[in-house]
Amino acid sequence: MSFSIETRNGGLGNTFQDAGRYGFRHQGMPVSGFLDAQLAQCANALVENLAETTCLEMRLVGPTLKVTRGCVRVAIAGDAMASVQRASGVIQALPALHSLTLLEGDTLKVGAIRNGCAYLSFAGGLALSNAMGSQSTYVRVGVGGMNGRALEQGDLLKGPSRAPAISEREYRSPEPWVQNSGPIRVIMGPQTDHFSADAIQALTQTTWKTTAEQDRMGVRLSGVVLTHLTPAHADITSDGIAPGTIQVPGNGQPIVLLADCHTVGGYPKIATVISADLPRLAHLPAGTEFQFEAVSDEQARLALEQEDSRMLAWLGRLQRYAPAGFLDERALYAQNLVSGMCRAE
Amino acid sequence: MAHYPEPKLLPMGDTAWTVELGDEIDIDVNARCMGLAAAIHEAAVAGTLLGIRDVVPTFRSVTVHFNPRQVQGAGLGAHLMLLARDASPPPVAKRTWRLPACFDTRLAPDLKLVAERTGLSEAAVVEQLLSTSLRVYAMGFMPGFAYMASIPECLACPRLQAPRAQVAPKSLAIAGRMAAIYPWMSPGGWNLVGSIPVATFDLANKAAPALFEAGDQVSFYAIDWAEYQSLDQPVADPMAFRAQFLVESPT
Repeated sequence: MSFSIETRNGGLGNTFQDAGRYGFRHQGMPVSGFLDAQLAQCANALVENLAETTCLEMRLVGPTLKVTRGCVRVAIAGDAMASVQRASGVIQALPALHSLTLLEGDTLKVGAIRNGCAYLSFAGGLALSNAMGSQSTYVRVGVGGMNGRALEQGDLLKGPSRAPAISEREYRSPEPWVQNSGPIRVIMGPQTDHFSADAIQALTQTTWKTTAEQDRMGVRLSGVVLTHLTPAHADITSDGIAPGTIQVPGNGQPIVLLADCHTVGGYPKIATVISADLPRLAHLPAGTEFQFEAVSDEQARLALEQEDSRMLAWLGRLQRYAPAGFLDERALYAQNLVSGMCRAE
Repeated sequence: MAHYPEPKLLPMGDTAWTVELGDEIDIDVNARCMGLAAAIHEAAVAGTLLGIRDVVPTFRSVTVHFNPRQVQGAGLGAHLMLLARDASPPPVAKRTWRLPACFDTRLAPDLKLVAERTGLSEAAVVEQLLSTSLRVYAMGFMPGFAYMASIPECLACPRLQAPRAQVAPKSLAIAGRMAAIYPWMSPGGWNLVGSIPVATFDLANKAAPALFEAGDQVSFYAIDWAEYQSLDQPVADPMAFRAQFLVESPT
């Protein structure tokens, strides 16, 4: 049986995303999709979804969602506080990385997102507008997701027409998903030859700071000025760009491109962040300091393999659990029943 | 020198290669880029090249995006270089569009400025534009945005000193030797000299929402305000509407 969810409050900066929209970049269409595909995979795994199933990507303040018909299993991955008000009025916390089944009349409230982005998954996914083979929202041209825009009050979310039966199983992770640490790794190029030797050295040997100028298209960094070989080298004949590419315009301050970046650009690109470290770019609030490290193609391949095996190991440690039921403390106090263990599962 | 004696293989992280064929905006270099993009696309469809996600030809290069979990970058790069050395213009001409354009002052806020800057009359500017066959050198900047060149030397003028915060969609714009049609409302610094009553990006065409593809030829014929208004309407069959402006297409 499928479900319906009414958006009581859309929150702020929340869009539906999936693994991205490939095959249309030659038409100028950006890829979009998860900023942190690993974190989205965590949220999806907890509700037994495939890794690329559409999630709500929450960036600033999470939404308030009420189940108006049927039931749906959900899970959150990322740094977000959430609670569920049951139809009975009972309120219980929904910890991150715990699945929970929302029943008809239940309301899920997600608070502030504290570390760049978090994901809310829905078992079986959602019926959303699909454009060019993807449900990913690209707000700039109003494509995908919920009418091509961020979630708003009043939006009705529906389960797919053939939603899977809700099983008895709830899952949780005994440990958080931790991103890899250390410098953010890059492969130099494609336009290293547009920069001075000092700039090339400075990229990997100085500390960079993220600014507040960041969105799904990219994040501007501040640090030493990366000088071009000559002022004329600050422009190139526009060519292909990709998420992770580090563009350096005339002011010498790099911009790291993210999922919603254009398909071509006219600034020289000094280096590109490798796939294994791309998810980390989604979690760099303004003022975060970090360093870049140059690696080889082979090191990038090994790093990606390592990330994939870390994820497999994490997924392997998911465990079934019984949610701490429908504990109504006030009712229990009234009946003088509170003593010792009280679990209503 | 336009063509490099040997193509350049430029890495873009572990998910893309850019194969560069020349060092300037040149019709022959661009034509070879289209040929190379087509060859890569064919090889991907045939299964000779695995893990290809997108093939994006631009002015003088082709960017190939791939899935690093499906293919090793080094091997793919070597294969792309083999194709690049043999790159030649596509044997079959791409599509040719003949699009209506309205140069009414209400739709051409910078026509007067362009006339002043070029020393031509407004009528002469329009005449020059109508006598030009443009080539789509690259797609990008926005979905459906085509970089078209070259407009005659006598029309070349710089971008506006202060870019507009909002350019109306369908605006025909020129800057330097290039022309473009804005698919979406957006900021923009090009000179607005007219408007085209045809959507250059329409999701109704699921397989190819963008009107143009790199390599297409484009020319314009003039329509007046009334004709513009009658064409600039929602249409029952957007694809048939679009197709009427296609004068030539390889089968």
